[in-house]
Amino acid sequence: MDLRQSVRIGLIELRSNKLGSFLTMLGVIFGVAAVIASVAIGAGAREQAMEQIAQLGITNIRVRPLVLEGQERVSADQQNPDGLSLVDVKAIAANCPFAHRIAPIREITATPRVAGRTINGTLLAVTPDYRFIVNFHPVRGRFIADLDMNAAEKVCVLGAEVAEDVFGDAVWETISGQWIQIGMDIFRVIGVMEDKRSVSTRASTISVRNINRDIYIPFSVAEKRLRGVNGESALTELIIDIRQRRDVRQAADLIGTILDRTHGGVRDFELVVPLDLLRQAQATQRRFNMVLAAIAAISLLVGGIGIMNIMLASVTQRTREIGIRRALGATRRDIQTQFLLEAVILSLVGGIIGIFAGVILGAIIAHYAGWNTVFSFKAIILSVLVAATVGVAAGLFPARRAAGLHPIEALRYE
Amino acid sequence: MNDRSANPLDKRVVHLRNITKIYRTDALDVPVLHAIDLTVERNEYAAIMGPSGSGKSTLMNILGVLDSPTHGEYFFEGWNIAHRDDFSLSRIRNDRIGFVFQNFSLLPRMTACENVQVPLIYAGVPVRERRRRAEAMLARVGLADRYRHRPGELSGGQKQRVALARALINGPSMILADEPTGNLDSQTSCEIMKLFDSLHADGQTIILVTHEDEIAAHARRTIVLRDGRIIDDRLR
Repeated sequence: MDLRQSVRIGLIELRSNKLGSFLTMLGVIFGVAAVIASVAIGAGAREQAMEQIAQLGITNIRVRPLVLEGQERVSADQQNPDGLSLVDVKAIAANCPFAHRIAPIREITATPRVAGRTINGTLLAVTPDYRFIVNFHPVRGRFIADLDMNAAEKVCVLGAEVAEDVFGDAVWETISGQWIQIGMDIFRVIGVMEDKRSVSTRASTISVRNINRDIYIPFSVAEKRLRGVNGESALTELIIDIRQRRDVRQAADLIGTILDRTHGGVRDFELVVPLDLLRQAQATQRRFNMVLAAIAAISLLVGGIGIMNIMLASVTQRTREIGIRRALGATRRDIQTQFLLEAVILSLVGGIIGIFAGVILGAIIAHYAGWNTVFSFKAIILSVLVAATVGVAAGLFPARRAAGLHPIEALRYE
Repeated sequence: MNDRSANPLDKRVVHLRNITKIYRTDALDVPVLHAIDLTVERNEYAAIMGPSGSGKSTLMNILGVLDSPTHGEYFFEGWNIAHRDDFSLSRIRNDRIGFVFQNFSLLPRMTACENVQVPLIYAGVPVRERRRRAEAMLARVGLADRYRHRPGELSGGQKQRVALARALINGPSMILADEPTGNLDSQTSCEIMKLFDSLHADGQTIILVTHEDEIAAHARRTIVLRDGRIIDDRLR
């Protein structure tokens, strides 16, 4: 008997009991929809985490000052009143062979203005290495150079959004050489940074600023000429670039030891290692995937049992039909194929509906929760295969029972 | 088994030798047929008669290879098929035997035309030829205007005509009809029997199973069974 005919017979059977078929498919529909939606959400979350981590730089180690409370603060003030400072930079450069570049960053608490108008931007004093460490480059003009550092030139480089706020869509030639007022000083614009899509931050450990709102000035200027502005020499952040990725963990430990010594044993800083965050994110993802697989397996199992149940009922209900077909020349194999095919059609149609339901569900969740979702072709193919397998597994026993019926018993059945 | 004629010199379609059927239950064995010897030749028109419990249904099942005998040999067109496997027996049923049942046994969700095509499906005939042959056969039994009707939309006589068309569709070596008029009124019974008569006139081998003398009267030969033995076998 040809397959097309079997499929047709199966479809006629299933169509004659639409509600029953649909209810039977629900288990598979839910199972597949759950898998598709949660895989998409999981993949979206992972992609976002990876992007944030990548933005921090995978070979970077970041050191940030910690604000201490109570007794700890008292001893910190006695032992290491400067907090994170250039002393630390020198100590790391001298004692950590893994370090390739070190970028100290100091946030300046001053309001930038243009022609008396306040600009919404974060002022950061950085060294020329900064752009290599964070892989962030100017699209117009140039970045802060060693010459600017040595001469403590009052120049600045604007983030893409700041530049747009201030100058709109003016061409670079008119922007170049414009002046920005910071505190009591005037800075010349020498460059505009590339527009880097920054990922909105939800995971607090990985906090990533919107770097398109940064305004960079030479570190030496902040050190020598702006001491009066914030009154402190402390650093806001210290970024160390490690030569080899495999050394990152060891380097982090070494830097921790170095800083403990320079800070007199006071833990007034924290080390952020993106590579560790990445590993944590991956571990979390693995656990999430396992839970997901368990949920999917359970709902597909339940779906499979549902299909087996209705197929067994169908075999009983259609015993006479089986007898007639056997009398007319159907072999056991023909009967088995027919029932097996019906089970597979049920689960496959359920699977396909489930895929659509899952995509829609994922899109709805993404829309209302504002999460990223990434639908993978692989997950969809896998779902279809799993659904078909469930159909075969659930249909095999009823189909064998149907095929095993004796033609005469089946013909006599009322 | 699929070459149409096994031995052209052998006129015997059916040849039973010492056929015994015993139903085994847990407690005891129930013998139903005792050492039946029976030969039916090509173009015979025979009626198997007997009271209920005489074993005529069992004999009919064995003749139609729906059931296999406990002992004895069954030569179908010269081939001993008493102990063939399920696949071969299915092929014989499909290709060589046409069944007509008392309760019509049509598939309720299919049209008349689709019902007639079922044996052709299992014979592997392509779909277009199937439809052509089914329509031709329905026209031959007088149902040219009922192709698309489902069994529920047909009268008893029409249903039995569809069943007969289905039995004839593969050009069988014999028609096995089990109480073909059992569910029909006398007028319709008469029409159906006329159809059988005309098939016989065209050369078809027919075996009827019935307990009605009027129906059996259409046949040329009457075989009477009682308690699992043939007690009478005569030509009219």
